[in-house]
Amino acid sequence: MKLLLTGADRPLGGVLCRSLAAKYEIAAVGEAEETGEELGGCSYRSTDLCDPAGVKDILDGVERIVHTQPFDPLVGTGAQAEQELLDRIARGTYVLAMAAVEARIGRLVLISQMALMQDYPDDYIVAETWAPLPRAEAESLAPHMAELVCREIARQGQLEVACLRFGSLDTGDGTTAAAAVTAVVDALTREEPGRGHSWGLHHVVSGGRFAR
Amino acid sequence: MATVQEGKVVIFGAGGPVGAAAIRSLKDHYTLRCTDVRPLEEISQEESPQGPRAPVAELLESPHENCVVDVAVYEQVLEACQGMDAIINVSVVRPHPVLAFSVNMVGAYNVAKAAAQCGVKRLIHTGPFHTTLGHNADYWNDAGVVDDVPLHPGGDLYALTKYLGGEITRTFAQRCSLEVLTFLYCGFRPAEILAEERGKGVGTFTVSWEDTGAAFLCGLRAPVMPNPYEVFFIASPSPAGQFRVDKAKRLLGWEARDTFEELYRMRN
Repeated sequence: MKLLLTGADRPLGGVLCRSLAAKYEIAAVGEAEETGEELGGCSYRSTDLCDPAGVKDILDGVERIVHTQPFDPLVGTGAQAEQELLDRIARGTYVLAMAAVEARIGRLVLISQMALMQDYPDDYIVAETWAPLPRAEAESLAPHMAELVCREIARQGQLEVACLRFGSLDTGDGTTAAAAVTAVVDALTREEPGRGHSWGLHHVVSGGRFAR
Repeated sequence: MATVQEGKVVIFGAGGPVGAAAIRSLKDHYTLRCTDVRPLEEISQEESPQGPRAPVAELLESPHENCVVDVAVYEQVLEACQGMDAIINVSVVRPHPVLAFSVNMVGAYNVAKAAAQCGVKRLIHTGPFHTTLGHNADYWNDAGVVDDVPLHPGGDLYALTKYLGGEITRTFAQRCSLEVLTFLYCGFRPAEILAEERGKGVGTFTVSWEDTGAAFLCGLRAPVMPNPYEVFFIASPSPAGQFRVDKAKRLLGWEARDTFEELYRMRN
């Protein structure tokens, strides 16, 4: 099976490429010109996800998408960085998901952030059914926008989306690399119920207050 | 106190017909700073893209102001919000794949952020309610739909980007002590009914341009809202009962005067 994996220029993308390369053919893409990550032999291509023509091109032959970019996107500096981050994540996710619908790609795995739930009081048992609490900051709103875009496009019934919220990678109260890989493989292979609106949301946390 | 009885109000997207309706309703009660991405001097000389019966933005004279502001540029938005008592955001781009995000979503972010930074206590945000979107989760087959129902924009570019802007605005309201009233619209038309229009029917979510403007005055002057983010259907009451419009009457004191009875009753 051929996967498209976004965010391959970031640590999580690197981990997933290295771990999944033996099992899947992976087209790895990222925002940076060159990735500093070791990708386990996967090919890498710098891609602007906001460019519909470029995205259509990279989806050739792809059967599943793992969209990690909203988990740890590159954050620029300067006055326009916040606006650019919001636009890049929301519009890039929109272009990617709509292209997936057009190409009849059955499933997209979106990697989002557990940080969206961090402002609930510490003693609350927070589950996936609880509403996210983004902060009024672009870095917090960006993954929230990615979730909303995917959830709404999934509502049309032409694309299954599995959204996995990860904590910080390999920190005590975050998500271990091993748990992340297991969750992604599970999301890629899980049998879905085949409802019209296929949106699944899963918290993947290895330690700390959100761990189960 | 979030009620704005008098003072200064900035309007983003003032050059559109909803902005024009707002200007007409508010100009004698507030000092307006009318902004649009295009000069209002130009816009005021043109026919509305919505047709000859849609309102055109009036070019106001001092003490009102007319400014060019791109809502996608934070510094411009911040400058426009300084010294204001309230903000009205009616900016919108529908079909453009890039500008829809930069105006409807990033623009909403910039306006809400500037409102919070400037200590503006009331923001009227606006957006569409799509009665049908062509997927199974729209509300086309429902009756008694209320203002607070979650929007389900699906992949429709216009509906989705405005939805994202609304969710960003909601976040700022809940996080930054900003009171946001979001007005949702579907169809607009003139109050005047032409002879040839009688008995031709009317959409179940329609409001006149005249009532559209009046809603902004009520929105600014309404008492403190129960929640920092409140959504209102801005539509005339319809015997069809598909959408409820009583929340605006209850919390804003606004009710459409134009009910279009001549349109939905059979002609004699």
